[in-house]
Amino acid sequence: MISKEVSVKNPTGLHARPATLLVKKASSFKSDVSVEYNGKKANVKSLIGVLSLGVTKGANITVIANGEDEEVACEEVAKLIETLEE
Amino acid sequence: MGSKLDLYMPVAGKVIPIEEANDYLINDMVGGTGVCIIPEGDIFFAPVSGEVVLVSENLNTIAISTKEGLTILIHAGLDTAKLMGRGFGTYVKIGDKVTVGDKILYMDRDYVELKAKLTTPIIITTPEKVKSLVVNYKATGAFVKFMEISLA
Repeated sequence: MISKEVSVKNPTGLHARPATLLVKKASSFKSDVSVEYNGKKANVKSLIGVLSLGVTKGANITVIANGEDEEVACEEVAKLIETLEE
Repeated sequence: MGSKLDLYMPVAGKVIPIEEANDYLINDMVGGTGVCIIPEGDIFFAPVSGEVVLVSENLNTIAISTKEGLTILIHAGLDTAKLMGRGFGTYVKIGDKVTVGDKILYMDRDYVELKAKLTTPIIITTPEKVKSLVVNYKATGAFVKFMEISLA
């Protein structure tokens, strides 16, 4: 298992559009990918799961990956979160 | 085993295929399936009975899970997250039980039309539960059946 803390910089947080991008990215890996925010944890391969966290701008969240491609999965999902613009 | 679930128009309006919304992300909504409605009313009602599992911070998105395990996401308007809740109100909170036709969300169409788009995706986020679905594109009134889902 590997984890990485990232901050959400886009002004609207993880709403449907960025969450969709995240789900697509996470679903391209074999590993289980989850994010933790505010004591809640969600599967990044589930749109409703990601949206349920209610992540807003400026939040620090932890990306956790577990599986055979966990390093690249964690890195890529974390990078995507940090570079979200809308 | 051959069971079906019907969805009822959450708002009066025009039903269009999701591809016609021509939105690069919604077109390819993570394997989800659904339609878009161009609303002609400001109040949205529950299209199915179930439990509210999501009310977004920006008040523009509500999801309802049915007892069959199907989850329906209603995203009022496109690009509406940036409005940060302005122009929106909700009548429900996470954990509430709703029945078809219960009020769930308010969208000020005049305001949203100026700032974003009214086109409202209705997405089934559990496509693995769907064997097939039939859409009635002629449905226009609120509470009219617009989708018949055969459950997998």
